[in-house]
Amino acid sequence: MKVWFHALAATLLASALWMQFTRQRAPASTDLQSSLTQALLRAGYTPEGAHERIGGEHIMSFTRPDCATPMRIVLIPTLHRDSTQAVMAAQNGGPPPVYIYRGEPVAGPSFWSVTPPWLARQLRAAFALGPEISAWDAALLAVFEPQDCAEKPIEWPR
Amino acid sequence: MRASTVFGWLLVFVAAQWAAYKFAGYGPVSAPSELFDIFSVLEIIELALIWRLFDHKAALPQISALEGVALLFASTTVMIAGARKPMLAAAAISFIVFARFSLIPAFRLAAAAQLAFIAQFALLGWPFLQFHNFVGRIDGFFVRAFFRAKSVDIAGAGTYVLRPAQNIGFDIMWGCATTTTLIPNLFGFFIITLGMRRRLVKTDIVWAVLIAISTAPLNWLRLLLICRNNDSYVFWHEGTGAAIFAALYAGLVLGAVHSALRTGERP
Repeated sequence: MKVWFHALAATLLASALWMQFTRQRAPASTDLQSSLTQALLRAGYTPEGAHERIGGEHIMSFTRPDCATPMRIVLIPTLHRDSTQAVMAAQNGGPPPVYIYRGEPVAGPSFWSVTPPWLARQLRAAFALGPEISAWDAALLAVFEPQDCAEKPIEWPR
Repeated sequence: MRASTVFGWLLVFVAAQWAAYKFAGYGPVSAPSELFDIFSVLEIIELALIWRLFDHKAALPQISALEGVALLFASTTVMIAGARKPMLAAAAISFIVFARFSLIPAFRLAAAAQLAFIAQFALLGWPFLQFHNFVGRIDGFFVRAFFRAKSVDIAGAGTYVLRPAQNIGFDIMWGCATTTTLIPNLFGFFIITLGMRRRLVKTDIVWAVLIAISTAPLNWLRLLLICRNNDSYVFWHEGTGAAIFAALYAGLVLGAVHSALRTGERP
């Protein structure tokens, strides 16, 4: 029995798993929520009401003194996931949302509208040509924006 | 040193990355019973049989200590480089194991089986999502046709099944399309049959086809139950219902393995 080989293998496995664990733990979904809330606070909005969770998705409401109806946002923390339930709950019969990916509006939550910018960023980061990958690279926003308070643009978190 | 020592440890590395992938997709675990939601019984049996697959009776093949250490370090490097993508790391280690151990006759089947074990997750991954979405469109067509035949409120197109009166909607994407359950079922059948009998025979295809024919109606039944109302969605999509279907599929696959082993032994 090669005891030294077992010891080496166990040490390598344990250290690699430990490195994976600490690196994966870094981007928590609360970071996404707090950076989204801060961007909206800068645009004059304040959080309103309880923050709901449907499945893995967060539904948040924000309001501003010049808006009659609050703005509802569904934060979808993982791309290409089944978020229909949460989006329909937030829509509640009203007009459809505007989808925002990394600060830019995209055509919809479909695979093809999100994949090109996502893939471009992943490739640029892989070849060290672009900024580092952040938690926002895998997050999509469905924004139900009231018509009457659309003047002041919001700087969506990237 | 013995080649089985190195193979065993590399199999543990692959399994660890596979487990990391499963945990990363699930989120924080609060109770031990949740482990049954994360790992499928079939996958555990497959891993156990892959270890059993290499020929323990063959004259112990040897591998140089230097090469064993090099294989361990190569796998560790892959794990650290692919820290955010555990399944990619598992696939890379699995490929290293296949490239080296398929050269040793006693390990050929086990090396192929562990590559197939990881390949089934690759088939559920990115470039194949388009294929699963296409199958999801067909599933959506059947589910909507059923509700329409029962003259229940129904809307949606493509992969979407919407129930306006119930205020629910469901997107039959890659996660719930028939092929998403069919691929693990078929791989499970072939890996377990290979593990039990150490070879595959032509008649196994009959049982694989039977699994495919039974998986489709079972998945459509689950989709109908999911789209019935909100309580039903929660039960059959994330709750006990999902576990019931997993148990049904496991029973189906193990039953097919049992039948294949009985009928396939005859020359």
